[in-house]
Amino acid sequence: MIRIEHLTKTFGDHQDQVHALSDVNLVIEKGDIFGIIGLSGAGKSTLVRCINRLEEPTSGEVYIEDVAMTRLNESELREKRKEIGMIFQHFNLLMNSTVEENIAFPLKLSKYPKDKIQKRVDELLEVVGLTEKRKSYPATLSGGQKQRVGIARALANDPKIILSDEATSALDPITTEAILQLLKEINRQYGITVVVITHEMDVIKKICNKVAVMENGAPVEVGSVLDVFSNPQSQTAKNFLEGELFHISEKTRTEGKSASQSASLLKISFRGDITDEPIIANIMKNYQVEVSILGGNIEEIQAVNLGYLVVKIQGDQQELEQVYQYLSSKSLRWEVL
Amino acid sequence: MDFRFDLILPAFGETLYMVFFSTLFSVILGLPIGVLLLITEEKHILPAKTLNSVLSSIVNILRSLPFIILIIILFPLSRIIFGTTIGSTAAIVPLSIAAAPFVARVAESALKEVPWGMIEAAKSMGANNWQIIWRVLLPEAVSALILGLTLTIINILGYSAMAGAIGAGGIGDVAIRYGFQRFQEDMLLATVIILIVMVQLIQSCGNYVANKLDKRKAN
Repeated sequence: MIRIEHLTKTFGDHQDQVHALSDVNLVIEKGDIFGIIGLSGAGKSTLVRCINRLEEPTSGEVYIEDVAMTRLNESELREKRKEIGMIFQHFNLLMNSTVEENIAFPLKLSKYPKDKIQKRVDELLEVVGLTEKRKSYPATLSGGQKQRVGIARALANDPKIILSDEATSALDPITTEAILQLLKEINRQYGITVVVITHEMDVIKKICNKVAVMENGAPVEVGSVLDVFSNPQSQTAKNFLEGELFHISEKTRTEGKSASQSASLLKISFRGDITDEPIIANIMKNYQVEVSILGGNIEEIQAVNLGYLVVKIQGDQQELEQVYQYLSSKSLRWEVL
Repeated sequence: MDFRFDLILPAFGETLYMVFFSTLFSVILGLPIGVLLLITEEKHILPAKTLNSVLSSIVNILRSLPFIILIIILFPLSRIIFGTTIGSTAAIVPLSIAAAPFVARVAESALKEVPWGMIEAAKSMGANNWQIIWRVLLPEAVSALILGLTLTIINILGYSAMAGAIGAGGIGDVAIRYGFQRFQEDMLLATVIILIVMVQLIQSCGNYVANKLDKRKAN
């Protein structure tokens, strides 16, 4: 659906150049909810803006359904953009237009006949649940309602792709949840490919099936959300996950470190059905060790359970080795902290 | 000498006539220039460095000329268009041309207040430049433009009184000929009161309309 090849973007002149993107390669499949996560300045926003050429790439190419975007002329580009809806952090609604006028805006740009516009606007108001507010001005709406207008507007032209540039970053957690569910619903119902830019792992966890972790203008890790969450490779991904899901307090770490030599602090990560197996009980039953649980968490991601436990295991070295072997024989990941 | 109400009334009419048409033409001339000044800026929707600096210089030069001198310079143009350099109709030419650069700057700064995000949103939906101007920039800046228009009308009103000094008729003409040259203080006072009331009215109407059209704040 979207293929990004050797994309680079450089800002500024020769004296002080900023490399916002350096040699980005990504493939986003049809029907994906593809998350792009990174800290501020990682280039994620520039990347998504290069997709519809709100930002002109310095070099490289973006293919949308095999159409090379940078080779389109101005009017071809405008037509292509109508197939790509975009929603924004600050909504960017027309403040002097009502809700329905805002939603009708892209249809007017496409010179739809009046009666068709009316019909489509009614449908879209229904989809985002704002039929009551059709005559209201954006200034009177809540943040969540404004973003719903933004989404309805992005859907108006029946796009194949929706680009979401930090669409929930200005919203409170409850509203964020509702907006994310709406995006997920849209993806499922209409098969629209969604590209989500965010700096929150939580957003990725809730709706994305694939994720690219960006750092210094390039993805450092790309994969299914389940893979990246259960087995992060890059330090950046690990940092994001530490912060969001697998938080291990400093106190726990020091406690573990200060334990006697005959004890070790383990982090065990589970994934899928193995979560149901009584691993800890088995360890305690079969080996001469004492196990104390220091922390843990189970998350459901893409309908798969993903969990971790931090445990302190005490026992003599030989027994500990056997526990390690037992853990390794199971399809789970573990590490000594 | 008597108070000449019969002179004031037609003069008031002439003033209204001059102000109305000069405002109209100055907006027709100035608004497109204001739009161009903005959109030809670097990184705006139609970057054109040379055009931008040429327009900007013309606007600055015209704005730096004192109005009384501009009228004299534009005598020939009035003669070409209306066949005369005397009277309210002839005064419309210099008045429009004097106010147009002012309108351009006022429009430019009003349009500049439209958040860039809105323009980008329109671009992302496939809007062309024309659509961005008509459907985003102008409607979103409408209340600032109305306030700018109010300023323009009041400016032109002031200029029209000045134009009266060199044969344009109107309130300014009465003030000079009767109030100043014949020392009729009651006539002078009458013209001043008319001007004050007009300015107040124009400003209040402008504020009211601008406020009505501004939907950017809640309620």
